[in-house]
Amino acid sequence: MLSIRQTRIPRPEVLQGELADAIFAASFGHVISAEAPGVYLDPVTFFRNTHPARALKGIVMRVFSHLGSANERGVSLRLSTGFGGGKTHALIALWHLAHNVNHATMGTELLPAAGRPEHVAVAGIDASRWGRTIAVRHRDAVTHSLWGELAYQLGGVPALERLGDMDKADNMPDAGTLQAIMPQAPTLILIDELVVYMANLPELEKRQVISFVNMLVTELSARKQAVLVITDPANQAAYEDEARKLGGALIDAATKLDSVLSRQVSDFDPIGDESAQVITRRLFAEIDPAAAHQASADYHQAYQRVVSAMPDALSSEASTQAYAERLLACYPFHPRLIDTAQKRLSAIQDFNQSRGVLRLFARILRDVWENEKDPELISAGELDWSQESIQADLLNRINRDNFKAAVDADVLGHARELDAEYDTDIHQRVASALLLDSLAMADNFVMDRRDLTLAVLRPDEVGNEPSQAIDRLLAVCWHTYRDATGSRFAFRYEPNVNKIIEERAQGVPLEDAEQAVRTTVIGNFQGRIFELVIFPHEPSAVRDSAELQLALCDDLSIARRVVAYQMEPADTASYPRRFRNAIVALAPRPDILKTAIDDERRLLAAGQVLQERRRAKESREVLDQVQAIITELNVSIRTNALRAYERVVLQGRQDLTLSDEYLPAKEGAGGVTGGQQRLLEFLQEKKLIYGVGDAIDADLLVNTLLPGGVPDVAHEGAIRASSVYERALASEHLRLFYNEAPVRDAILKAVEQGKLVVRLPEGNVYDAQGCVRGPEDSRQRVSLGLTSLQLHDDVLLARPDAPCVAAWLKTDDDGSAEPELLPLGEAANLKHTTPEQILQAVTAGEINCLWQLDAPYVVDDEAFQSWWPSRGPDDGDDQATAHSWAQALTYAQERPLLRMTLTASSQAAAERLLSAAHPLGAPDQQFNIALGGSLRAGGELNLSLTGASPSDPLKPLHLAAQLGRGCQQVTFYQAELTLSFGAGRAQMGPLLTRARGQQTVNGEDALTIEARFGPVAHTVADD
Amino acid sequence: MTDPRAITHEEAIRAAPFALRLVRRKAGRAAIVYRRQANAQGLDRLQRVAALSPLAYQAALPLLREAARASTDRGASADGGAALSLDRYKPLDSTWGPRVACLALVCAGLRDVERMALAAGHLRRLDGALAAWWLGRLLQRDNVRALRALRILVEAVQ
Repeated sequence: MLSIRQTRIPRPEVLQGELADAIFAASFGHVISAEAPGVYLDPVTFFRNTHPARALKGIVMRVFSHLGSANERGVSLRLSTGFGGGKTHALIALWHLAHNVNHATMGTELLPAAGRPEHVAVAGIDASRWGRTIAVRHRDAVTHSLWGELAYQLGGVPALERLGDMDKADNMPDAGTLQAIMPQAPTLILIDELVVYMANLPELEKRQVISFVNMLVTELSARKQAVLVITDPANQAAYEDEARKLGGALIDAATKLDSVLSRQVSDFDPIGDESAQVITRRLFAEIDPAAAHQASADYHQAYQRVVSAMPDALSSEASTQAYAERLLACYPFHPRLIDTAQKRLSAIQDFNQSRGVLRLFARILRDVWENEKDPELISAGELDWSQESIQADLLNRINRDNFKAAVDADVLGHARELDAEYDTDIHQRVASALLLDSLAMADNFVMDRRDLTLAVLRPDEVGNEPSQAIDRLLAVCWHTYRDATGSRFAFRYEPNVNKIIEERAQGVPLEDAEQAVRTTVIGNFQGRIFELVIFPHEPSAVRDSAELQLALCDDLSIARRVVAYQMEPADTASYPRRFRNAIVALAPRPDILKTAIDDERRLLAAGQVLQERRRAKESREVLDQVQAIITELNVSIRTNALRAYERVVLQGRQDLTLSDEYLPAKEGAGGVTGGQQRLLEFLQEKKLIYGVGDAIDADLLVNTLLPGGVPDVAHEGAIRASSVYERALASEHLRLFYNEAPVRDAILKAVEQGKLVVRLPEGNVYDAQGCVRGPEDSRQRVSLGLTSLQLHDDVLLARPDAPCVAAWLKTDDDGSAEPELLPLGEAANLKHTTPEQILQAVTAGEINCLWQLDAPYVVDDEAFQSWWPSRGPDDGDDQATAHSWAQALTYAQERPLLRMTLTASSQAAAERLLSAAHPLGAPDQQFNIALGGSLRAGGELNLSLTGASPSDPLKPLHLAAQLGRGCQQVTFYQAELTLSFGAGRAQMGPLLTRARGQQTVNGEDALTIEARFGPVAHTVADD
Repeated sequence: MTDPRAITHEEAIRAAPFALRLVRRKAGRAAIVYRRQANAQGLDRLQRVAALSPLAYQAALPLLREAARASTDRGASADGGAALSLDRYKPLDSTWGPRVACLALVCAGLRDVERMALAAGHLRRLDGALAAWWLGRLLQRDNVRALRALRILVEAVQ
């Protein structure tokens, strides 16, 4: 891609000096009086700058063919201008050619040297400068009328004297006099702006002029080698204002002249459709055709690509070969810019048509060269509205000063801000193009998305950029408008709802907006993971708690103080926060928060505006626009408010920033919640919080945390478990704690490894070998491991070598004690079986038995405790029933679980029912609850619920508990939860283990179990 | 013409039909709304209407600030300022008091802070007389339907 600075060289007057009107305004009168600038007065320069448009060549050839041939009759031509200055330019070209007709090399692009007449008598008239009584003051004479001036120019003072008293506007000469003053040589009469002169004349004189023109046309048609060229501005929009000023006189004059000319003369449009080439020729000294072809090809290819991929983004006309040829013809200007200048700007009275276009394009060119821009084509997007000269040309000159606010606020303000935000220049280009088209104020809405794309798209862009840009601009600009369908746009100088909302927003209290944003943030960070502390003003507003807390803070400074201190450090003392691993603070990024707050003010203002407009029964279009703004603001506020809170502050650690994946998406965060969950995931990913299954190191627990714990006065060397957890929360070597599980798991691990001994409140002591339990004088060791514990004050921990441990582990079954003997029936009850099966086990030597008084007694020793009947008494051939958790776990290894009943015999135990059942995921669950008790005011309560679903609205457990609390004494309570697994569910061992863990309290089973298992699953061995 | 005697804070509280007191809770600042009523002995006393939880307090802050400011403007207060300070009764006038009291009753038991903010916004714009009417309905013993209706009207619930 070659930029136009490499392929074109502008003419010197374009790049240097003042771009005065005179340079671009072809004034025929000044050329006649030799007062015009060199570019018009010097014929060599004039013809170098003049594009030989086909129509112009046609005029020149026609005029000079009549002048050059003695056989040709006289003719009258009317130039009607399509695009501005063509008419005057054509007159000047004819003027110079007529004066230099014998100069063979002059103007050959327009008129070949061959066939030119040897001499031409020329009369040139620019009537726009004439007064009513005096037309022109010459050095040797003063003329007073059209015919007087013609006589002077064609025959000098003698011809003027021949007219005598007839040189007055109200005294038209007769045909004979006219014939007398006409020379015999080839004669060319050029008349410009006659209508403007006529408009100032009284009616009588106006009729005289019309009659004279009529007579002149007739006279010339009767002569040989005589041509009249007259310009006619009728039907030009640009004269409307002038016509208004003159009270219709101009139109009247033009109409009258038109009625004469239209009967007798031929029409010409000097420029036709070659206005682009005219402009290019006028502004550039050198041309590189290859670069034009390259640019045309680049744009053509890009337009084809965009039309094919995004039919809605660009008109298919842009991808045609014809448009590619227009691109070539208009190079280095974009055809859309030429169209804007011709069709829109030229319609503005003060734009001055051709001179306005030339001046504007010269300004753009100079800007491109001065600022060393490198566009491949110059489009409306290249306009630099920050330049005072551009503003002067496009606003001040054409009385569009009221658009200055739009330029400043939107093109130079909002569009530029958007460009900075998106690192592009598309917004300024789109705003610039839209504003340029809007200046004419001819239509309410001037461009659609396709127009905008055509106007500013560059070949290296995808194609949807202008469309996206206009959407963003509409959201923020103060002077942009869209139609009801939202498809056509325009700039207007009146402020739009954006501006109204913006102004109103200044009146919205800042604290209200701040509070609304806070509310959004609070809503996002509500949850059960962290205990939420809402915007504390000082550290003392946040408790030093072992529960995991999340403090939402107003700024980073408060956040740091809150996590570091319990109270503000005074001069002499500081109060550091103890539970450093139980608090995290979030602070906002000020700039994003400010954006959210500003948007919130706008939203509150927009809400007010919407209400007012509704009350005022405003049009649907305006209400929809405000509603759309409200919707966008809601999304924007939510996004920014939530994204602002990205600074994570922990005690003793560097501040962290929530990465993008843990923040709401930038594009639309409506409905996004779960801020706590995302924060937790972030902390877990950064290894700043203990996750599920994580445990702290057992050695760290025993060697570091345990020694500093709170000792128990009654047990020498024992430490309270709660204090160990608190020390973990205060340790700078550890992470945040979501709960006490990491410490509890470390304690269990340390016990298992023999590094720690645990004493539970009821006196059970656990060490690596098992459990020592029982009343004080009959403590026994059983092979029972510690599965869970709560870190309370009354749970004690000690090293194995601590003084208290020996007493804790002391047992009374040192061999001298007799084992307890159980009657056969009691033993059968304990094992949920029949006495016969107990006797079978005795016979088989599986359990021990003593005979006293001819009755068998089962020895309650380890053998009995670990024995379980192999099959239930009511089992069929294959099924089995377990009556204890251990037995159920054994069966579950090889049998499918069919049904299970968990039984709680107290309300406290019943609370564990659902949590124990939860891991098993039984499809069918039923409650049987029986409750009996005496009422406080007398009477009895008996409740029996059978087959109730746990999800029953009656809330069976809750109901039973409530009734139980209302009793003076509960005499009977039993709650059974029966879980059915249909045809059976295999491999339930791990789930049963989890279920058991859920119901264990201080190492003891809270619930009894009865589980029915299916037949053993046999594996088929390979042959 | 003599200057009216500036009334003290205590006098302002004693004359106020409603009052607000800010307290500190575990989760942050909260507020309690009081209304002047005759007690069992027939004495006019400020009696607790409802409390604004820390969440509701945050959601209602714009309303509370405006209520405090407006009440200060109308009934002169010795401490002058409209700032909401901890553990200090803030007098509320008969226009803003019912709005604040209604909000406290509407928000009781709710958790959705954004809904509470929406409700606060609606009540802030609610006519004072209408707010008083609603408060009368809400303070009746069988207020379930009224409470549900007002919650729906002010978008405190969906």
